[in-house]
Amino acid sequence: MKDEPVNSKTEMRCQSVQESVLARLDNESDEAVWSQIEKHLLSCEVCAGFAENSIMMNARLREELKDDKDTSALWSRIVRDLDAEASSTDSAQATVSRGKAAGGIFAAGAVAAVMLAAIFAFPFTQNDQIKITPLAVKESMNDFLTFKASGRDLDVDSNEPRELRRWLVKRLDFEVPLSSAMPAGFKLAGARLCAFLNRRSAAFMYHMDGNLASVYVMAETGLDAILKRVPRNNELTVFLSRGLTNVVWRSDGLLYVVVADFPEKEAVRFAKSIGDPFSVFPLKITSVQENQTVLAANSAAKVPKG
Amino acid sequence: MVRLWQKDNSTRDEFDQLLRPHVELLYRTALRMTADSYLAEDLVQETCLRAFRSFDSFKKGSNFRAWIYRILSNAAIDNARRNANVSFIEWDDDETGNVRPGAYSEIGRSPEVHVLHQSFMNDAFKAMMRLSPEIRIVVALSILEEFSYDEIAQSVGCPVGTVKSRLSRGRKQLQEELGEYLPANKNSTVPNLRPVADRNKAKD
Repeated sequence: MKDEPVNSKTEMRCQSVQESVLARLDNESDEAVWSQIEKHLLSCEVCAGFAENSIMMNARLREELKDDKDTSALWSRIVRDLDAEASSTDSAQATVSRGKAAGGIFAAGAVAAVMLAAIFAFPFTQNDQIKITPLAVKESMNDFLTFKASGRDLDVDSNEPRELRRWLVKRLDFEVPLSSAMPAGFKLAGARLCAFLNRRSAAFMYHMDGNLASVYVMAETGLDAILKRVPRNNELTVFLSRGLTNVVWRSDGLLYVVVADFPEKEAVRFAKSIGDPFSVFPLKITSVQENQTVLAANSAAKVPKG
Repeated sequence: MVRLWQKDNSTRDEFDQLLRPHVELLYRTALRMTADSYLAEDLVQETCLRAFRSFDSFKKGSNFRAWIYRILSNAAIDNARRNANVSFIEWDDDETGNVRPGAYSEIGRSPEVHVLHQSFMNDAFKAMMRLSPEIRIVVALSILEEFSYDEIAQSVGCPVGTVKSRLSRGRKQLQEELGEYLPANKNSTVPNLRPVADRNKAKD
């Protein structure tokens, strides 16, 4: 190795070589000068070390920070977003409804003027701290928008809670609490069975004068990461997103998400009147224990109950 | 699913066709910008919506990748600034898909190598997140996705000179923070610095 004295000229030369080395790594080097750079690297331990470290750092970062995730699920959500975006900008077509239940629900109209305040059992905080919309809320919103745009029928077209519960209980791996209490001004239109987040969930559809609210109920099991973004039990959190109001809370091992196409104040009142009876009349204890065992087994296999 | 949206389907189809090949790449970059798989997906969805809304401004025949990366870049920087004071939740390996990136590559590693691997990966993500968002996006596009300087300049909306200086600063910071993972230099030979394209040719 050639011993070059350290002086400003050498340092400048080394700096220039090191810039060329980085350009070479980025496929941006000038071939004409590269042979000279190589000669320098043979004679300068500092620059050779710099080059080797740079190569290794590049390679390790590429290897370790790669993520070959299957993006097909993400693509589906993007398509749904775009569909919803397109339908929301084309109101004339977006109000078309084809389903028998949807026809009644989505008739054009204004929000009813007054909703009676229900029992305010939950503490309620506007969600300023949690700026990240939980995935459960996003998926519920996506489902709500897709259903609204599709005009599909509800799975069960009934305003009788017992009938809905009877239909759902055969199809879910948790027991759905269903109150007969009705938020003031709203009518229960029916229910749907939904599938997202590797689980089945129930969606109860309510409507009032052309506005719609859907209450999604799903088991909390296996949603640990998502639940870190949802406050403690029985505390309502509101997420405003994409023109929808989302109210989320947890109670007795279940996660509730209200997706509503009306303003926050009304949505919170709606959620409180829905949520409080649910928490007052929780699951049957015996069923909970039995179903929790089933859920644990199912979640490990990632296969929802058939 | 019945699509109610009928108007101008050709535009939508064209947008979908242009967008689809880039979703994986967008996600990867978003993940490097956020270090959170949920946030990364949010960011990509937001980017796609913004892109769709402004698709009229895209010039046919121009570089779609650079165009949509410009949107991602702006959204990512906005997002990073907005959440500057938000402390992010650590990843959990669970069944919901919120898996730490790279966790799949544990297979076949010895415990010692695995520990080193995890340690480097964690520190690399942390070091990336300590870069300013403006530098982070340049590092992600250059080092990790191998965009040219020119394309990064188009994607980020700054001159090539700015790209080079940001990249240089980013590299320096990463070297300082992750230098302990590099072995002491024992070489006296010239490292293999043939361009990637040449090296790939050599493999063939």
